[in-house]
Amino acid sequence: MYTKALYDHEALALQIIRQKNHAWDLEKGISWSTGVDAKRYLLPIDSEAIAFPGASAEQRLAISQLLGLIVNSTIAELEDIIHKLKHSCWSEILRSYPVGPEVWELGELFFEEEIKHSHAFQRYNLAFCEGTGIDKKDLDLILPKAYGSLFLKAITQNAKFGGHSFWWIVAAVEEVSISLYKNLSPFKTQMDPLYHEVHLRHMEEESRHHNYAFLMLQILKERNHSLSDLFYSKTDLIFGQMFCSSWVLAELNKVFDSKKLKHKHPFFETIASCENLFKKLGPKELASRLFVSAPYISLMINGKNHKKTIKMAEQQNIFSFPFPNPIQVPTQVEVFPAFTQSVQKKTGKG
Amino acid sequence: MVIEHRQAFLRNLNTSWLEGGKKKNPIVLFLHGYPDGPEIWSEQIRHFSTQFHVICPYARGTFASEPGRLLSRFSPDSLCLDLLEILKIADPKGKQKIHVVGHDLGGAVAWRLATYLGPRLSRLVIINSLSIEQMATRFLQRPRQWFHSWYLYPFLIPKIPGKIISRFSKKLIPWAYQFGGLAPENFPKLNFNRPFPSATLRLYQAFAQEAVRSLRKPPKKILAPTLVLWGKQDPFLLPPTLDELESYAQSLTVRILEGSHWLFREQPAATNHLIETFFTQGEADATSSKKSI
Repeated sequence: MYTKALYDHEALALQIIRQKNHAWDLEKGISWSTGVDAKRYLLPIDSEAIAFPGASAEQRLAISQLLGLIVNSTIAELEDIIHKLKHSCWSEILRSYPVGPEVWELGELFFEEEIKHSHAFQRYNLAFCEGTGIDKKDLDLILPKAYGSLFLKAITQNAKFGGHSFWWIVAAVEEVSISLYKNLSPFKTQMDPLYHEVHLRHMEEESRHHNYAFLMLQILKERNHSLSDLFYSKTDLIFGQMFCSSWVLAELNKVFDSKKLKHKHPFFETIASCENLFKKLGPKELASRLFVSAPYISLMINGKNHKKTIKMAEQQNIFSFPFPNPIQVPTQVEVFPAFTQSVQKKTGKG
Repeated sequence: MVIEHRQAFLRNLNTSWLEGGKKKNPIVLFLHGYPDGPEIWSEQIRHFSTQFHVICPYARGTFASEPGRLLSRFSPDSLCLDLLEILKIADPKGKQKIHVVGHDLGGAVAWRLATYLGPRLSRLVIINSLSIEQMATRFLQRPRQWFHSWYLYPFLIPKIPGKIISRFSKKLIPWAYQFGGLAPENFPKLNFNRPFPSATLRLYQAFAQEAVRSLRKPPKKILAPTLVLWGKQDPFLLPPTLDELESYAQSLTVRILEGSHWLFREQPAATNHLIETFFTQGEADATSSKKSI
């Protein structure tokens, strides 16, 4: 699939120029001074509010904002992991199969951009806290974290023993990032402008470098010849999918820790009040919703949403987890001035 | 463009080479492998003789270069001394910068010649080849290479394989090219009216002896910028790793490309472009450093 691209050093050289010319600066490239508009949705959500059917207007706004923060945190954590595994999962591969200097340089750019994206999302979450009066430490208790997780350990060990689940995960994250923006861009005038801007900048760079993971997978395919390489090549994708999806689901569970924080800020109180709505769903319906129709969550955890990754796996006869077919549900953004006034009264902000 | 066939009695043996281009231009020395002759570089000679002084020696024992009786005349050091004699004739004052391009066995000689040339060497280009030291180390560290080098083992037997190849060259030589991934339309001009030289296999025997000796020696680093081009569909040699190469070159660029063992033959335009860019980059660097001084 990417064989020709891998050896087309002129095209890769042009890609380097394009990426360098259009790269944005973390400080100057985003209007951080705008701040976060706490009255606005961060992500459009479906009529069932992901997994909280019957949510009130206030609850829907909080769910949208929490989901937006969770998406930021998930991508930030995954892109930070990418950077941490640079040596074992990237430079060692290229040292064993030195395709050309352009692939090296694109790789350096790739990792620079990924860590920049991670910082941008973390900075947005911090800006959200500053805009709403939430303590960042409290928010971090309910957002996904990869450091110390079983997921990170699994991926690291897989890399240590010669596997490359890492690049399948990267390929999926790249696709998620671009699809995410496609989902939220129709609502850009109604959602928080800073949130939209961060994701727009993210998507721009992702679309320029998203092929890098596939180039690395192509290198691995061409390089790998031992029995253990063959074993890993067939199982890395399914391994990555299982651990990544499990990690996301496990981290989502932290949302319910917001009940311990409900006295600290109305935001947590509103989120905690959603737990009863969640309990209305049976386990089967919940699983179906999360994997099949829940916006953004299904995008992250259901591998069938990652079409290019699946296509590459099919071409290489690689096993993929048998996820159910996802369903695209319509999403919407609402504006709730009544909620804004109640938040302002409680926090004294605005 | 005139390409001359030159011959001289060098170090007591008749030695031949092809020469073209203007003598005032920097020298490019093309070193062929086995079962090739200098004609394998025809596309490169055509391209580079317009801007460089091109020299393509016949390897010791190949057609017009007399083999000699002693195996030691096929050792890499002896071959390098022969090449230095050719370079003395081509550039008596020793002022011209030299670029060396080696393929297959010629690449192994090129790596060794680079250590002899020292600062006179401007650029080194290696195509689907390893130095003797790198090959010896590879046999120890990458056992798969033993299978890819199956053809070497009969070549190490004196006399008989050479006679067999000479006797059946009409079938064996084209087969070797096809096995190596070269399409018939890209074959060099093969003249089967003359017997195929059997003595050239002594190169393998001499190199094998040198490979064993080299295991005890530390690697010698080439200071000149080095470009390694590698056709990845080479059935004889596994693609290189940086661990294998970087101890031998201070400034190293490696490119693995779509192509066969005779990459430069099947994709002459692309290979010429890469080599030319590499050479002219050197001149640009030299010019800018002169300006800064």
